[in-house]
Amino acid sequence: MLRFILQRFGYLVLTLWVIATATFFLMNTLPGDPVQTGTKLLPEQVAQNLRAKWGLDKPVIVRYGIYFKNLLHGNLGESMKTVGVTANQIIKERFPVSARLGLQAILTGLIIGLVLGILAAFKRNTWVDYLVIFIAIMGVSVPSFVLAALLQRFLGGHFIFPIIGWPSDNVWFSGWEYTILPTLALSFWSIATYSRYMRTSVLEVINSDYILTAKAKGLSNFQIIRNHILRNSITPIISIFAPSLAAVVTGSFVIETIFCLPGLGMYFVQSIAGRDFIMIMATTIFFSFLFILSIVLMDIVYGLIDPRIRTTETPK
Amino acid sequence: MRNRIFVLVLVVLFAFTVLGQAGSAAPSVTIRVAVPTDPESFDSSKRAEEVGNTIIQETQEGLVRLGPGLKIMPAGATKWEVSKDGLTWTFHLRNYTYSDGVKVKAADYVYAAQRLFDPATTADSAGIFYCIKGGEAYNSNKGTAAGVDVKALDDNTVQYHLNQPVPYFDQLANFICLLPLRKELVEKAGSTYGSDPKQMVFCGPFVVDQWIRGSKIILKKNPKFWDAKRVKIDEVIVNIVPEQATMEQLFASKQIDVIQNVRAEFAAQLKGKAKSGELGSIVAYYPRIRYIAFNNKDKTKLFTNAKVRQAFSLAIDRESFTKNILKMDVPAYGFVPYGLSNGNQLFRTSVPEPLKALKNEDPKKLLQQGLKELRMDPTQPVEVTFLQRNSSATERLYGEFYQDQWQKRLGVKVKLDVALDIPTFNQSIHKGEFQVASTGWGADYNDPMTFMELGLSGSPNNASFFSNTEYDKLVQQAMVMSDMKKRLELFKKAEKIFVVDEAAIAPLSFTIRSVYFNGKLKGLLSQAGGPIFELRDAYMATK
Repeated sequence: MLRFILQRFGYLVLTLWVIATATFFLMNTLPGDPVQTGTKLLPEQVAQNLRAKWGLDKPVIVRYGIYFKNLLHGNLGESMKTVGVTANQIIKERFPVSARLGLQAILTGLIIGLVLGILAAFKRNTWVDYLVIFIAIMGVSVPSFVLAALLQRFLGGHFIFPIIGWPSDNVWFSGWEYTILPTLALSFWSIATYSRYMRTSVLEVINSDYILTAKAKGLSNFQIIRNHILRNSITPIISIFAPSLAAVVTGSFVIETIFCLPGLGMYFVQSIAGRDFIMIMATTIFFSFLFILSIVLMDIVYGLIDPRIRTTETPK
Repeated sequence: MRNRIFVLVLVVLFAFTVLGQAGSAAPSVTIRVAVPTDPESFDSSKRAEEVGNTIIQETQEGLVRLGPGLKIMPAGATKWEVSKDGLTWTFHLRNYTYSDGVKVKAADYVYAAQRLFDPATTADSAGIFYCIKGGEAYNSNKGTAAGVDVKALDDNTVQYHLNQPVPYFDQLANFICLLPLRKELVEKAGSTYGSDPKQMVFCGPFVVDQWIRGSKIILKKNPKFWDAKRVKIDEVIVNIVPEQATMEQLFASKQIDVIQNVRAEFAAQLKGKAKSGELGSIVAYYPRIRYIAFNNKDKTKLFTNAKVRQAFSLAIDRESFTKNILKMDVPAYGFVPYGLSNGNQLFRTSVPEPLKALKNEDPKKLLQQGLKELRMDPTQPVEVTFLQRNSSATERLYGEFYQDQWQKRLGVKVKLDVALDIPTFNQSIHKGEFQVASTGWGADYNDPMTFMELGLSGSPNNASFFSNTEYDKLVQQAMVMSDMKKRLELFKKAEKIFVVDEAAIAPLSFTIRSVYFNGKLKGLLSQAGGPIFELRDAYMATK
């Protein structure tokens, strides 16, 4: 198992290097000079000073070397647009916001989705089932920004829901009222997806002989679900959970923009539009790291839950 | 006994009145506003974008301040004088302090000027101040800080020496780049100066209390401001709201007091409310123009001909464009927008828009003549390519409008080419890799020169690659002319060459900026060159 884990982490580092290198060179082929993005051209001297500051006057390959040297020291560089602030600091400030929103959304999605999926499977072909299927279809077909705008329009400013904003004093455990609408908007897709997957996989399990045996033993429905159905039907959920965890935790550009959340997702898109090379690299590397890490963790969890996978992956 | 009770009652009543007053004395006034992006920095030397500019101007007090009607008013300087040759500007500072109680000294102004030109500062706006002696040299690594000719004569007198007379230098003095800086604080913070308000001191009406990036900025009244008694607002919450629809919803549900840049549909609702007095509004010219740039160095030769350019310019129905397509702004028939002054006089009130005179010419005939001059066959179909700024729905709408106008009125074929995004578009324009494109220009300072210098041969922002010796001569004369009447005539002639005789560009529309606000909010200013909202004199009416 240890060898399996080490091997996975080796792949992680290698993949990261490939991604960072590819991004670095692709980014430099983007049309549009990063110091002259505006309608107004800066005087040549001013532009030259800026280029010298960012090292843009050096050949790409030299810059690549410098960049990687800094990267190995954990230094992602200073943002080209937000003056005097390092990329590390921006990620440190903004990532918790995206991460909290993402975690809340994915937990909400997971819990509600699983419950709905199991319910639908048990009440197959009744109105409960149809309702869940309806929610699932809506959830995957209504884009989150439409839902977000609707929630904001009709609930924002009423009851306890503010229209915009995010708690700033304690990023993880305060201001729950701010987080409810964005969480709902972001979790709708996961609710729909998980309930659909769960319904199908529970239906597969429910007709197995061992469930019949369990019933015959006189176990209650709850005991059957907990001991026999959940464990056997959750594998497909894990395989979609891990990548979506990374995707959701790294922030949603749309939700963050609509609710004015100081998250990382919004910043990433803005930095591409503004040709902030430093921030493009920093966020790409950070996002890929999280994404690959979550896949590695998924592999490990898979192995723990289902021994068959571990043995096939590492033949002895 | 009765008297005693009476006295007791009186005492109690009196006590209640006093306590009551103490309780209700000056309730704290908070104004909530919204801006679309974070400021790039609070560092007054480095950047000049709208949001940063607004926060810096609300929190710092420089030599002068923009007052009502675009008048330059004394601020940190009580008075100033210009030498006879126009080369030396001397400003006399009042005794005032930063928020930590330290006096603002002339030396702080000198340091700010030196830092602006220091190549290591990489100040975007340094070029605007190359008129200061020694500035360009230092900025180009050819001079020294000491060579920048800004001198502190004593603690309260600062003197700027210029390369050439700049009649509008008082307008430039309103720029944030010349704001005083405390050397020891700037050097202590190093490259992070301006990213954290805790490292900074403020000498303006407000101080930055907090900046939660991506979320909000909180300003508090500055008790150490020299004119603190005139500031009636205790706190300003500046929300960062990137989505215009969200901003409109915040305003509609009264969660912000001021809104700007409203979209046409929402503006219609607000206009009604402004009429009934429920809302206040400032609707005014903003010195910005939207125009079509013809590539005067066109590789196909077509737009190298003035008659062809005139034809394309006149073929556009500007009234229809502003009314049906933009649904805002006003048609433009000149290059210098309304709201800019030549000296003490508004330029456009004495110079009518020149293209209006040509309104009735037949564009098709002009095109035929132009083609003949170019020795091109007028019977052959003409095809031109319009470069669209990006693929957004609004830009496509504009692009299709121009296409329709030219095809219908000139009988030419127009191909629409779409740039990947705005930086890509700007690069194509700067490199001259286009035939026709729509772009714009906004004033850097309140003087027609900020527009007229665009058309100079080889000027980096000359988007149409226009080059005309007569025009160059007129504008260069205006640059050093201190007789404002003669200067006006020079500009008038040059503008006519630029948009009529040579039709280097086709003006389309002048910007109107509208700001709507809570009807109780009084004394708010919003002018080009100043902050988006100037709250120094603002207050909340009690009724």
